[in-house]
Amino acid sequence: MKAVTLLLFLFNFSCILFAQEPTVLKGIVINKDNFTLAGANILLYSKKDTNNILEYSISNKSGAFSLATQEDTDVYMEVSYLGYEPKKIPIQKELNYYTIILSELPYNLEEVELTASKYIDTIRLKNDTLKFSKNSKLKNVLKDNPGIEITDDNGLKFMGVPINKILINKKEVFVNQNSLALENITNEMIENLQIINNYQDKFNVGFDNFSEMVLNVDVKNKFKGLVKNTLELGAGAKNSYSIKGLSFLFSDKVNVFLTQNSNSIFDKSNNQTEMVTRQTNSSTFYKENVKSIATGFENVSEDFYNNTRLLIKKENKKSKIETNIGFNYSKQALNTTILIDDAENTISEENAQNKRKGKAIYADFGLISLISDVFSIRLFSKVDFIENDLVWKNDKTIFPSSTFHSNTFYESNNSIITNGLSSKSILNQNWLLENSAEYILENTTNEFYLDLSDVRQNVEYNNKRLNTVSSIFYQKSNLLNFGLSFVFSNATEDLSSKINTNRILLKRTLKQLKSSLILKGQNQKWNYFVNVGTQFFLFQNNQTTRATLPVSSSLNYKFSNNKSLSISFENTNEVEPIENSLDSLFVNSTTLITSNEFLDNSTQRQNGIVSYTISNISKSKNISFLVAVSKDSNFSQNSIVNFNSTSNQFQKNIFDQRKTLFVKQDYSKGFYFSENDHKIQFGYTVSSTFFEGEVIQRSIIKPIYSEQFALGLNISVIPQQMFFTELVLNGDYTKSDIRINSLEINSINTTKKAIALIKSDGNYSYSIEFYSQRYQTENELIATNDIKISYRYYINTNTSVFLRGINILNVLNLNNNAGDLKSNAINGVNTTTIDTNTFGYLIMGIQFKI
Amino acid sequence: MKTIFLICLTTILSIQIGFSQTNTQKVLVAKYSLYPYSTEFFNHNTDKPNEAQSFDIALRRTKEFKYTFLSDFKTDRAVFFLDSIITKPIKGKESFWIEPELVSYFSYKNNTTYCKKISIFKHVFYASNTADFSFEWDISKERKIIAGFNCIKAVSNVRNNKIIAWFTTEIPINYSPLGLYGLPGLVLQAETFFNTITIENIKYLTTDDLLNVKMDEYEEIYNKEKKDDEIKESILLLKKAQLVSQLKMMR
Repeated sequence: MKAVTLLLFLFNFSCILFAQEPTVLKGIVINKDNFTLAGANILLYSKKDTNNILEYSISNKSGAFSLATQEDTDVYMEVSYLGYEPKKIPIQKELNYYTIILSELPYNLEEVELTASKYIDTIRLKNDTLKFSKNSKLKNVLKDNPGIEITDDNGLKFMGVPINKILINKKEVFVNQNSLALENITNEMIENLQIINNYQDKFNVGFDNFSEMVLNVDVKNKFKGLVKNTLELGAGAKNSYSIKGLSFLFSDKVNVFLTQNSNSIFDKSNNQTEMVTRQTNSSTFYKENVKSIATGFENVSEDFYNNTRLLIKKENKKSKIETNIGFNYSKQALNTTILIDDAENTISEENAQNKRKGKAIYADFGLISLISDVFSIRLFSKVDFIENDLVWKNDKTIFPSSTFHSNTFYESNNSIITNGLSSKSILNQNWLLENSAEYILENTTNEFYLDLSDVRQNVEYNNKRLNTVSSIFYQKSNLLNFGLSFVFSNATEDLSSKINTNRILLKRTLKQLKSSLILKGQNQKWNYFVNVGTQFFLFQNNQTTRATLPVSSSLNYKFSNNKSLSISFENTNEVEPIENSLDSLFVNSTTLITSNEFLDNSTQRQNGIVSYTISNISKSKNISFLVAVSKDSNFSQNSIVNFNSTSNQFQKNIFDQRKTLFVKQDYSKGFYFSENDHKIQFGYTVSSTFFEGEVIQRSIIKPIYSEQFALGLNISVIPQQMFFTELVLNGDYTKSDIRINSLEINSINTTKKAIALIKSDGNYSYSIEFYSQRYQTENELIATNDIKISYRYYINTNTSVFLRGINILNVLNLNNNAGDLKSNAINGVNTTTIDTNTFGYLIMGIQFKI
Repeated sequence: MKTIFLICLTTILSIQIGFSQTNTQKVLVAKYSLYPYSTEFFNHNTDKPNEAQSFDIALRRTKEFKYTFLSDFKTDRAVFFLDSIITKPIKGKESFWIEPELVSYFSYKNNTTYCKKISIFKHVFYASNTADFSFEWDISKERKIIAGFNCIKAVSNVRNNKIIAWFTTEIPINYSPLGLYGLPGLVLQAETFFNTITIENIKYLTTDDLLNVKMDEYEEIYNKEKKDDEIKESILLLKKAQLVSQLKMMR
């Protein structure tokens, strides 16, 4: 028995010994060409349970592997390597070294093309709120996001940082063309809306750490790669009509955006503020003319507006082509009353019927080519042709008892062409060289005629200007970049003025030399820029030289994702516009400006802005503080000299200085008060402006002070499942006072109140707004109470009908509203302008989408 | 004559070899999405009501990290890098802004060198490793299908850091995102205490240009920035484990 026990024990022991000693499988993995394959996977499975990996190993650098297993029967090895056909090899008891040969296998994964890019830091914005309909504009969708600020002229800011680029599917499409995107992209196109914090344009050769903040709109797939069209036709009361068209193509290589807007309802939704700033080196003649066409008068009695814009952006791997072509036509009529008093007595009253029409054709062309990763060239060209015609019919009373009737005609033609070339190159990684040159040719012809005195003024202006800039930067670190910049410009201006037979010629040749030291840096928290230099204006006519010290600096510091501080300071000098040195210049209706010659005057402007923003998108909270100060020195300003039958005569003089202080505080906060996203949004804006300057009254220089206080309140309630999606209450109050010495000569209070109901559902959307506006001066009161409505019903996904109107009570003759009132006394006399028109319309129409 | 023949033959052969090499040059491209949470992250306080738990999840989903993973198995190189950080507001939720505790910027493998850059509570670490280090994976029988691939669950508890990885043997490469390696297949989903990463799509490139650019870029960044902050992966894992246990105690 003992022997049996011992035998059993020995047997068991040997079994244990046998079980504890695993079999070691070794081998090598090679391909058919006998190359070893490192990193191949060797998996050991049981034949009975092929789901269970018993052991695994990975081949080493020389393709060898070793695998220890307790089992040597009923198991097999699976050897796999990406790009090769996997092989199953049964384990043979007597074999412990395996040479595994794998054969290549064609891929079955989809092929893709990728290019190197930096990681992008984005903040996704809301676009899915129930209150927006399919047709809601990008502008309104954005406004619903705390931290986003959109000004009336479509300036866009996020957390206090300006945004000038709007990307479509991460491609640059709208550059300095915010209006076009904000007014035409609609909610239904938007898949994704993001702020990209660290965007870098690959065509903009520069140091890696410098990035900018942009807005990106990813459009839905159905809007990608196909031409989409929208046509909207509407007509209504008092011959009002509107025709709007939009065609666009968004794709990876080419983006095309064509808009057409013709209407008689004062719809300037392709508002072209960008158009005004395109030609930076233009004269005031050009600037005023282009502004007059782009924005026109408000509160007009008649309006026709046409805007056609074509934007094409084509991007290849190494080059980018940009084309922007526009055509604007506008025609307006308005009735205005202008009252001028000196705080004690009314001096004059003018009742003017104004008519104006104008057209502008402009085109921009740009080509950027990446010659290599470190060298880029940009060619650009900007061309503008502008025509403006104005007619004033004026009934003028000069108190106590003179009355006159006059007609004034004004015609202006401008053309301006800018051609330029710039390059950027990185040298030795740490050096950046930038060069640019541009040549500008401008021509303006103005014709002025006043029938009462049979006075005719013809003004011709020509300017030839060359600007060159060369800069070199050295990058010490992300936060420390040194740069030296040299600017040279040469301008030759000719101005001829002929009043009846009296001709005056002015010529000015000005050379500007500027050299500056630049410091800049950017990282996740800091972004700063300082440019300090010396600038010389060499006036060749009278051999004078002026030296200035221009400074341009900005700093943005992010305390966290939610808090940021921005500080900027600028000290700049601008040469007096040449026309300010003309003996006499008729500028507006019956306004005649006379002046002495100050061709070599340069105006100094100092600006400082500090802003602090706390913005928490998640908490729907936004707080911002802003303080801005500005000081002008050596500037020209008009002072009243005389009123007579033919003209209100002003004299342009050089003044020492004027100062402005602007303080603003914004607050908004949203509260969700239920699980169903019931929300109340509350916000206010408080601002004050203080101004201190000088005026000349009866040849005496006097101090002038202005104070303005503004308060804006906004409450929005978003309930769910009611007959409206949002209820909005708005209130604005502004009080403005102007004193000369201690005498108050101007005071105006403005109160605006509105209540709006907004509803958006699958098949329809509407908004109705009741508003009241009240302007009051010491002697005048203008009040407006009216209604604005918008209703749209979707017949199907591509067709909708709409009804839209502004100042409807006025259109339907249910009340007699007056327009608005503006009042100012900055020239030493109190000027009150009353627009007695209330522009309104009521139209219905249909929209098709193809 | 012989010499000319030999030259011609050599030229033809070299062209053929060159051609075949370009033809077979393939780089795997995988896109991943990462959220700063994991099942373990929420496990510490399971007595929370459902509503609060779903709020916690919503809170952690405010930041999404998108990554690209490139792997060239022929040259034994792979790189994993951050494409974009997406901050998403959650409608109707208050106070949900979060900053992830751990951010992975990049990791790469160049033959036997393994490097990564991560930040933990804003402190940046540059971790390096060699092939000798093992995550000591324990392959389980659990399986699931992720993005159409059969995946197998593997768990590592190396230095008390729990990592759950779902890998697929259908893509037999053994260096994966987040610098995880040593598994017989690409990891398509992985959870650590701080985050969960999941595959979004897999494709391939016919050239290795992008991989070369990214490899050079991150190798340069790593070598330029590491200075005194370089740490061995094994030590980093120990530190992380300590941190995780402290965090669990605090909550």
